[in-house]
Amino acid sequence: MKGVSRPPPRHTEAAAQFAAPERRVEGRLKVTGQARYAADVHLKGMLWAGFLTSPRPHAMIVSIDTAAARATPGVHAVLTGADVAPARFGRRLLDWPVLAWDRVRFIGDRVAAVAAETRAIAEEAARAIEVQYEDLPAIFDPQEALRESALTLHPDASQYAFLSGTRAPLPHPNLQGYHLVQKGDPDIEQAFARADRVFEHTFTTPRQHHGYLEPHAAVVWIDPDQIVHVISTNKAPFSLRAQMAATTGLPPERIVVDSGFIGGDFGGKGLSFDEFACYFLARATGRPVKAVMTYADELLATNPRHAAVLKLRTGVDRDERLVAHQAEVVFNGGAYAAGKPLPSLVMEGGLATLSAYRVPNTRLEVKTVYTNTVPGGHMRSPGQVQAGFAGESHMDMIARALGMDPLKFRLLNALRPGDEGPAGEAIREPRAVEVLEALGRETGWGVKALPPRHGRGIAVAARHIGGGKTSVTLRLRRDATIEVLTGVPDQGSGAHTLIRRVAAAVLSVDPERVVVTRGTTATAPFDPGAGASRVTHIVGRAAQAGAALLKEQLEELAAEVLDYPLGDVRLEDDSFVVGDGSAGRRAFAEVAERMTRGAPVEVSATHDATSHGSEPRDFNFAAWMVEVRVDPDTGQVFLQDAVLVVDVGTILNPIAHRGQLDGGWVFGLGGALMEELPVEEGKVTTLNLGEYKLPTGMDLPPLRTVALPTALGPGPYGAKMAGELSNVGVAPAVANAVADAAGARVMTLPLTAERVRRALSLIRG
Amino acid sequence: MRSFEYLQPRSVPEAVALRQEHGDEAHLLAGGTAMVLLMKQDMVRPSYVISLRALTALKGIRGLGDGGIEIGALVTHRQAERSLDVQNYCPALAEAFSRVATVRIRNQATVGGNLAHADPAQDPPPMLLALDATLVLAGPRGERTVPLDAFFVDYFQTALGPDEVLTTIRLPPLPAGTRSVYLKYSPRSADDFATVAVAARLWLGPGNTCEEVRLALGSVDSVPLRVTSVERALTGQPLTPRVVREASRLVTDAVHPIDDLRGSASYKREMACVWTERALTRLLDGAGALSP
Repeated sequence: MKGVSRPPPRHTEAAAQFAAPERRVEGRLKVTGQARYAADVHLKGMLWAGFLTSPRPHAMIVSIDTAAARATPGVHAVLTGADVAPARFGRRLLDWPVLAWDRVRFIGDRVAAVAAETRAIAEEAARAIEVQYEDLPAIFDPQEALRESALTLHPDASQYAFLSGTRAPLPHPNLQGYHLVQKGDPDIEQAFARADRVFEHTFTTPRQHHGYLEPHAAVVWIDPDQIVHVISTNKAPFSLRAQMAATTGLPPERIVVDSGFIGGDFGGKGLSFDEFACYFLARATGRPVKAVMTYADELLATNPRHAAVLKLRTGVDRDERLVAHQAEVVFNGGAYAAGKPLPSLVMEGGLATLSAYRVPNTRLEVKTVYTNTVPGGHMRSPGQVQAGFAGESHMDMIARALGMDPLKFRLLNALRPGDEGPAGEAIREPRAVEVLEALGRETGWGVKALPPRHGRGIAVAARHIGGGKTSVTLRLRRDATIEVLTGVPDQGSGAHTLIRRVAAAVLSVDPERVVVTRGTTATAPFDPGAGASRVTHIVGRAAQAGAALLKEQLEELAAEVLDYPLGDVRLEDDSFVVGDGSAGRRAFAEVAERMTRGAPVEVSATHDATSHGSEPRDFNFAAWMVEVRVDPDTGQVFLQDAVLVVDVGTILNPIAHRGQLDGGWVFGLGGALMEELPVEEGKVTTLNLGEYKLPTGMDLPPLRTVALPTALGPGPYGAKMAGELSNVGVAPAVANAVADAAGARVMTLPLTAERVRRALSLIRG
Repeated sequence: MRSFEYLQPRSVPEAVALRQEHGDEAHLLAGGTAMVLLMKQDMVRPSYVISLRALTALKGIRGLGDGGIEIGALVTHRQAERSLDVQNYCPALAEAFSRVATVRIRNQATVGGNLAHADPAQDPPPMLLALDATLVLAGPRGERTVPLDAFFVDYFQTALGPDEVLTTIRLPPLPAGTRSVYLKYSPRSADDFATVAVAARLWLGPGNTCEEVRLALGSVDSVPLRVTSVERALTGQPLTPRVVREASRLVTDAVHPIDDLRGSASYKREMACVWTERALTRLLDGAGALSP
C-alpha cells in the first residue's frame, strides 16, 4: 500500500452500509457475566502472589529477612531480587527490575514476592518480610535530575537490554529519552529575530491514572512441556511475549500469551508488571500463580500519564502570522523508562504543541527524565494531552495579547493543503480550517451574546492515525460460519465487532455468519496490539483484504460445486447467485456444506502500514468549544455548553465510534478539572478512587458532537481513528473559556477552583 | 484484609456484652461502607467484627409528641432522606442526608455508623449539630445521652466508650418558622466529599431580629464544628446583609482546616467564610422555612 496514493473510495455508499447500529460480538457474554477476565481465572493448584514494596523513594537494600514469611503456613515460595537478578522488564528499554536486588528507586518498587495458597496468606507473609534500607538522596524533580552534579539514578544503564535496535546516546545519564525536531531555519534564534513580537509561557501538567475499571491481573503457569502460559490483561500480547522472552531468556516460542477480555485500557494495559514475577514464582513452585492488583496498587505503582513542564516560545510577524515556535517539553519519567514503547523513549505527542498550524520554523525538544517517582507510561494521546494544553493555551494568550479574536487568529495560522506540520510531517488532508470554520458556525462564535461571568474558549488539534503491520486468517467452517482469526485483543473498543462488520460487508454475508476469534500468541497471526489508534486502520484493512480474497475463493468453489463456469457465481446478500440471477439463488449454508468437504477453505491477509520516510501521514483534526461560568468568589468553574467538531472517516461501528468521541471528551474533562495523581516526597497521595477523582455523570455539560466526514481515511472504506482525539483539546478549551469569563489565566492542570480563585485574586490585585 | 470472627448479636444488651468481652479486639459494623474500606486498607484490623444488622429496633424513625424526632442508629441515609418525618422536621436535614456519596452507598450506610465514623468531611454531622442533636449510648450500666458536639473528639475519634453502642439520634423540637439550610461545596466533582460544608438554622423574630441561630461547618477542622462566635454575633441582632457578612468573617479564626486535594488550608478558610455568608443569606431570604 505504501507509496501509492489511495483512490477515493465510494464513500457515501460505504457510509450507508455501516449506518445501522452494531451488535457487539461479545455483548451477550459481557452483560450475562460470562465473559472471563484474567482476574476470573481459577486453575487447579493455583497459588496467589503477594508483594512487598519499598516504602523508600531511593535506597540501597542492605538486607532482607524472609524467614518469617517462609515459615508462614500456606506459603510455597518467597523470592527476592537475588533470586531473579538480573531480570528487568520494559516495553522497549528493560530497566525495571522484576524485584529490586541492590537498590529501590521509588515508593512502590517491588522487593519481594510470595506465592501462597490464598491471597490473604501471600499478603500477610509479604508483610512479614523485613528489609533494611540505607537511604540515598532522592530526586523528585526532573530539573534537579538534569543538573550536572545530580546523582546518577541508573549507574548500570549501559547493561540494560533494548528491544529491536540500540539506544541512542544521551547527553545526561538521568535522561531516559531525548527527541529533537527542527524545521526551517537551523538556528531558531535567527527565525525569532525576524518576528515582530515573541511570546513565552510555561505550563505544568500533572500525572494522571487511566482509570480503567479492571486492574492489572495475570495468571502464569509452566506446563510439562516447559511452555510458559500467560493469561494477561496486556493489550499487546505479542509485544508482551517479546518482552517476557527478553526478561526471562526463554525463546518466544516457549511463551504463550493469552489476553482475553480486557476491562479498559486507555494505554495503561500496554505495560505488564505481575506477569514477570508470576513467572518466577511459577518456576519456583511448579504451580500456576495468579496476581490481581488492588486499585491502591494501580495508583501507587503502575504507569500513569507523565507529569510535564512545557516551556513555549512563539514569534509572530506584523500580520499576526506565526514565524517561529520553540517548545521545551520535560516529562517526569519516574524511576523507570519501561512504560515507553517508542525507540526514542519519549512521548512523541509532546511535539504536538501547535499540531494544527503552519509554522515555518520550529525547534521542538522533548525530554523524559529519571526521577525517584512512579514510572510514567502511555495514556490516551500520550504526550499530546500535555502539549495540547500548553500549545492551545499559549495560542489563546497570544491572540489576546494581539487583540485578535482567538478563532480568527487560529484560522489565519491554520494548516492548509500543501503545508507541512510543525514537526515537518507531510499531511495527507489538512482539515484544520474546515473544523475551525465549522466550529464557528456551530457555536455562533462572535455572534451569540453571553450572560455575565460566562466565557467561551476554543482549541484545535491534529493527531496522527497509527500504523503498523498485522494479519488475519479467514476460514469457512463446516457449520457455514466464517471465522476470522486475529491476534488483537478487544479492550472494550469494539475492534472485534468492527472486524465482523467489515468482513461481512466485503463478503456480502449476514454479519451473524462471521465469527471473530481472538487467538493467543500461539494460535493467531502476529499483531502489534491495540494502541496508537491503529486498530481500525490496520486490523480493519487486513480483515477487508482477507474478506476480499475469501470471497473470490468462495465464488470459485461455489461455481465448482454447483457445476457452473468460473465467474458465473457471485456471493451476494448471504446467498450464491448464479449468472444473471434468473437461475435463482442458493442458500449460503447449503453451498458451504459442499465446499467444506474438500480442502480447508482458508485465506490469510496482511496489512502493512508501517510508516516510512516522507510519505504523507494520515491525521484526524478536531476543534473544541467550551462555555463556562465562573463563580468569582470561589473560582468554581461550571460547564455550560460544549461543542466538539471532529474530522471523521467512514464510521464503521456507529455506537462505539460515538462512544469513543464522547467518552474521550469526558476523559479530557477529567484532566481539565479534577484528575491529578500527586506525589509528595516520592509518594502518591491518592491511593483510592475517592481521592483520585474521575468525572461522573453529574459533572458533565451538554455536549454536542458534530462530525465532518471525509472519504480519505486510511482504514477500510475510508475509516479514520476515533480513540485518541476528542480528549486532547478539552483542557485548553476550558482554560481559555475561564480566561474569557473572568480574565484569569490558569497555566497548571487541573483547573481547580482554588487555582482559578488564585488567578482571579492576582488580577484583582 | 485480616481474617476475623463475625459476631451477630440479637439485642443491644447482647452487643454491649460482646463489646465488653472483646474490648479493643472487636469493632462494630453497621452499614460497613466506611469500615470495610478501612479494613481492606488494613487501617483497622479487628479480630472480631460485631455486626449490628440484626438489631431491628434501631432501624426506625419516629416523631416524638413534642415535635422532635428520633432516628435509630441503623436507619440508612436513603431511608432518612426519604422519610416524611425527617422532611417535615427539617428539610435541610433530609438534604444533608441526600448529599452523601451515591444512592448505592446511601442505601447501605447508616446514620449511626456515619456519626461513629467521625469523619469531619461527612455531610450529616454539621446539620445534626445545628439541630442540637443528642445521642443515646447504651452501655453496661444502661443508657446515657451525650450532646453531639461533645461526641466528636478528633479525626475519627468519638466519646463512644469501648463497651458502648450508639442506639439513637434524638432531635429536639424546633421553634415554628425555623429556617434551615445545608450547603455543600465540592468543586472538583459533584461526587466528592465537601471542600467546605455549611449547615445552619435560624429563627427570626419581629424586625428580622435573630432570636436563635446555629451554625456548623464540615471539612474545616478535626471534627464537625459548631461555630458559636458567629452565633453570638448574630443573636439578638436585626439581620441585614452587612451584619451577616461581618459575622461570617468570624469563621476565619474558628476553623483549622488542613491542606489536601480539596484545597489548601487557606483556601478552605476563605471558602468557609464565603459559604457561611451564602448560607446565612439564604436563611435571611427564607430558605427551608418550616410552616408555622
